[in-house]
Amino acid sequence: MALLLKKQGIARIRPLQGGLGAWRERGYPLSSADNASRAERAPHG
Amino acid sequence: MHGPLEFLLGHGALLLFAWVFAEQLGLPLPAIPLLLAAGALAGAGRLSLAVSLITAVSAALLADVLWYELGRRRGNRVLRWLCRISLEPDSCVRRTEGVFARHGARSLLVAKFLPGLSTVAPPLAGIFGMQPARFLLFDAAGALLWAASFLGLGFAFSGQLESIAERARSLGGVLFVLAAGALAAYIGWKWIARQRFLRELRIARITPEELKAKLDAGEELVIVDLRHALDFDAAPETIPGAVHMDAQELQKRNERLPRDREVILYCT
Repeated sequence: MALLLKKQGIARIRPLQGGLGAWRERGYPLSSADNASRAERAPHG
Repeated sequence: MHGPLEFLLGHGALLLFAWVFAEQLGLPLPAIPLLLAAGALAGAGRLSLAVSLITAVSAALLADVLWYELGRRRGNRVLRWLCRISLEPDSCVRRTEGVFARHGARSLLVAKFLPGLSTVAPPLAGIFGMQPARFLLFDAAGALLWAASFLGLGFAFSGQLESIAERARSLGGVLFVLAAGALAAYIGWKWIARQRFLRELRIARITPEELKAKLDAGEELVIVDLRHALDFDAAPETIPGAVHMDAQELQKRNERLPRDREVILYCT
């Protein structure tokens, strides 16, 4: 996916190493689904 | 008949069992040519079709049960590991999860015909908590369909396969060397492409520490939670500020992603 988006012109794509699991393992904060942004509110360029 | 067919004739069911079992465990040994050869031998009356069918189905089922149990016990780690060693790591997890989410147990019926899904489907069934009886029923039916199709093809075209084998024999080792060379070149090309892909990803990756620091510093980022809907529903938490969308949505909406900010992607 990262390479595909790069080819489509988004240069600064960075996959998170270890994914959500690694973030969670470090005890970093998480937002609940209610607070999480959904695709409908995706950022505009 | 010489070469693989003769070899198969000499070692019979044991070879077929070991070969199919190894392929279903994930080793890069194509079982289809061997099934076709076994079918051709059965067509020529030199091997039992029923024994070949039972052998191939048993071998596939045994390997699949092992993967299913690993999936049940180890969860997503098994799938990630499998996808890491596969030659198509980019789309592996997403594609297999997508197929499973759409078709459930029925995907086991066709999994063996789809490259990449064959070995991944059984652990996925375990990860998604499919009932053992249901898994066995659908997986056995899938293995039967797969083995019967290629044994049946070999059986039906027994005469033609024999003449091909005769011609191959007349060409001697040249054909074998050419076929082995083509296979080696294909695997080599896929391996190089995979290494290049992994290297690019390694360069671009962001560590959790780096991301946390950027968030704490108030840096404007776009964070995309790419987890499959099944994973998202199972653990509906995201990194603060993340947008959840699946891969298809992201592709559709990529023109709306800002080009002047870093875009962070993450999965499970």
